[in-house]
Amino acid sequence: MAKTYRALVGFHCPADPESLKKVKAALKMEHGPARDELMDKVRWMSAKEGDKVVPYNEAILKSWLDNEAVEEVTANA
Amino acid sequence: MPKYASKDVGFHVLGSYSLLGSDSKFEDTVELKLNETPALGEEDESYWSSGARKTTIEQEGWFDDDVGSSHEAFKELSDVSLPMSIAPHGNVAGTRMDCYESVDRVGYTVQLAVGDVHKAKGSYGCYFGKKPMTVVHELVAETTAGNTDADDVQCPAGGSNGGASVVHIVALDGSTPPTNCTITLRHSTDGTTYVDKHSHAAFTPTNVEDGIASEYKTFTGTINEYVSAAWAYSGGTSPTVTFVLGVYVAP
Repeated sequence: MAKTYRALVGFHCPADPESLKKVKAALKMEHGPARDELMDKVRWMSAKEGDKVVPYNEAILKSWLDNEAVEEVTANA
Repeated sequence: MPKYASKDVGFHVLGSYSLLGSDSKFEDTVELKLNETPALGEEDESYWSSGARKTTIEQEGWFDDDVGSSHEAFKELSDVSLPMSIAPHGNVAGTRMDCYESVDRVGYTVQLAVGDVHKAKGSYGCYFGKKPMTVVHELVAETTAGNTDADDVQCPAGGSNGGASVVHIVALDGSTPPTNCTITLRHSTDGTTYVDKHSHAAFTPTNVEDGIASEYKTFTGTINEYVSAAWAYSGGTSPTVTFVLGVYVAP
């Protein structure tokens, strides 16, 4: 069963990190209104402080932990 | 003593006022304060410094008297001290901007008036030294609540000694204007997950009209390498906000 984590702070991350990487790469080549259209293509997920969250893959869990955004919820918490 | 011409400057804001003249020249002087070290006998003069720096700024040129213009700011702005920011390398996220934490307008002399254009000289008193900042959100209008996480800015290696951010809101409106707008500085170690570093005070449309929708706010601890801006409204329909956000990473 996937482990559950608690948000230590409000945080914001992509629901699909690959789409963020592609958009960031494309943004370097674009100017003007096209940038807004590109940025709209990224789907995000947000958590408020105290929310319980389940990582959707190992990479995003590492990102959460690196940014001190979550802590693991212990069984009796 | 750097000199910047209007055409090269991305923005120059004091509080909520844009101070970019129609054609003006800035002179920015940073002076390291020195004290003489007394010596006995025949010695060359020598000095010591506490490291304190004094900053003065003068702006001279042509100013239009449109509402919200530099002329109005010079002429009408109250004696309240406000942050002032200048982007000498253009209005582009990721480039350097200079911020003066707390500035008073100390003088404004109109030398000549032709129609609605005035030739004038303004002087500013700076309570603190100049801080080199990075533009996180350039001075552009935004509509619905959002962020620049996908278009973040890299501060080289971030820092662990704290720092500061400054926000200037120059316009806040809507079909029905929002009650207020809050700007938040976010950061990330990897450019993927962003956490709030801190939020600035919520400013109202009245604050913007009064020219005081601006705040310099310090933070302690770590600021990570990737930084972004987020904005959110309270109330209103079809809101719009025009603001700039800059960050200073203490060395």
